[in-house]
Amino acid sequence: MSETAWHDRALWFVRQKRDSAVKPIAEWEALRTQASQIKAHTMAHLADYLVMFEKNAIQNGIIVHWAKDAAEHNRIVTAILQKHHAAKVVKSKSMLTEECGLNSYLEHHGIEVIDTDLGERIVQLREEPPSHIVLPAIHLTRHEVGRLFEQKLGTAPGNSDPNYLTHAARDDLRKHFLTADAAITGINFAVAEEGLFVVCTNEGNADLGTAATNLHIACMGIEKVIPSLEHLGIFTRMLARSATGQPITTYTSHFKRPKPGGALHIVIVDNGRSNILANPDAAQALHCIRCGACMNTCPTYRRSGGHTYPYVIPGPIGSTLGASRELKTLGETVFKCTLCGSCTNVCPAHIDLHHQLYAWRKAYVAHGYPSIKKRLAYRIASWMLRSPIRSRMLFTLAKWTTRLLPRPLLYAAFNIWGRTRELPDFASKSFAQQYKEYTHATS
Amino acid sequence: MQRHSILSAIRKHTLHREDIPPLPSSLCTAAPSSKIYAHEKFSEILQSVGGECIILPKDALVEPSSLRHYFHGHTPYILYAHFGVIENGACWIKHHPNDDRTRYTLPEYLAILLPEDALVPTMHEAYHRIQSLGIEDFGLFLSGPSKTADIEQTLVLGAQGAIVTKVFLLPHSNDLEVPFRDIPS
Repeated sequence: MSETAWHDRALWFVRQKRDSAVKPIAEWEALRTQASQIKAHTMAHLADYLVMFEKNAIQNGIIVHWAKDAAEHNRIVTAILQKHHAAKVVKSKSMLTEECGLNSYLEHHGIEVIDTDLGERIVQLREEPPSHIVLPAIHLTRHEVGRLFEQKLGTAPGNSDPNYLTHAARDDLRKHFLTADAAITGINFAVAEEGLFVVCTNEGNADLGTAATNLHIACMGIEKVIPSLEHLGIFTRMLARSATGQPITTYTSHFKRPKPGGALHIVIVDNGRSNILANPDAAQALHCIRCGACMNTCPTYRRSGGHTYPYVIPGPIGSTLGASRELKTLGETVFKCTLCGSCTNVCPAHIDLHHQLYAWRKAYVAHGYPSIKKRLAYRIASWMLRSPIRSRMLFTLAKWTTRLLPRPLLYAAFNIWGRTRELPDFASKSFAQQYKEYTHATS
Repeated sequence: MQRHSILSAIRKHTLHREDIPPLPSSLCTAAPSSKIYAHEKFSEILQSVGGECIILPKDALVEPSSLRHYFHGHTPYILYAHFGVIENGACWIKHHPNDDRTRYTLPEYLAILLPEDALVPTMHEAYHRIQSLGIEDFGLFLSGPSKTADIEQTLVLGAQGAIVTKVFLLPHSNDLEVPFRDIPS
């Protein structure tokens, strides 16, 4: 099987698990509507809810920090760690710290960082970024992981049994958990009325890391806040079902106060999010709960994989978030979208993903970002396809050139698309021709 | 002060639109189900997430050594849950600040004790209960053993936390010295 087909099938398997987890929930669509309403309401009063969250968190004994951007976030986290003389940190999954490039910053300051989610540990040992927000190592086969662990953890040569490899990583990680000085986690939901936050994992790595150390730093984007405890009922029902097809994550942990003798810090990060609030075409992207369902269903993502996207978050949601961040350098990825709308249909928060991607395309072109070659190609295509006669001519021409042109010419250097792909065979008769024959035969 | 500048940036950029819906006034709830059905469903879901549900006989001795035969001879660590959630097999554990938090992840074999009548249908009812129970410094839902599918989508039980997690439903007549006092009836 080709690598593309293998990757496609792995992701589609997760999408199918999501479907079978969602089907028995008769009120699923009502949940999506409510999730969307809760998020829209919270975003419309975001500053107030953040202030409420901060006040209650402080009352609970949590120390709250605010960071304008990635650099400031990294400085704050490092300063806290240095103040506590922490030399080694165990970290559970957090896309925000990935976005801020925290790991390399900490390492640069002499602090050892151990990613503790198995998938993240695998990509950390390979020195590459995660390719998916929920399944960081989905792009790797068991054999690749086996060879990696053989090198890095000393596992038996040639053994690529997932059970064996997982338990080898478990034994290795336990050593790190028990010798670490601090734990860093992300935040799935921050509850304003309670001043508490929720972290969801299947492995228990966030729980073990924060339980084994006395210093816990939790990092959150400003959009993670929700009003009250009862709203967690909506989101905890949807997150794992959408992500991996489980009814709930194994561990859904509520952190409210530091443990006796311990310290608990929260870093609230903007890093460009407040700008997204002002853009009506993109604002709903802040409703994302990071389940990854849009990636698992996306026909492009399934075949190309997360590492082909320029932004830290791949797939449909990553494309729109990247475009919001910097349209010029990260925006071209919105053209990968086929506008099939599947992402919008599976999104638990009902984000208008494909509408956003379409809006970003228009913005990208309006700013004049496409290269001259592409702009010219669009213009010609638009002119050709606008008239039935011209478009018929184009298809006939394409059919005969792909058939008659010698291969070296057809796949010459200018055909970038053809470097890794074969041109499809054109049908011998066009649809219009077939339709004419069909109606003629049946009339 | 970054706090101020972030908050004012948020206020400046917040769209003041008429069509922002208010918070939903009533959230979804599930219909109550009969006791027998509740046990079966809870047990079925718990099994699907790699756990197991066992109804203990009346007057069964509940201590680590007496539960060993449920764990192939391994002595389990016992946790007391306040209630279980039928739709996902999760048990709510309200942590006591003086207890060690590693108890949820370090033990390889976990026995969760749960009064048999403490099952709620969905997470909506679960959070209503939590609102009246209150959270002290920490609390968690635990649903089955720790797991991962990070290597080629193959499910492996026992990722970082417990390898085996079983829930024991206690008949109400059991006179237990367990911290179930604050469970609302």
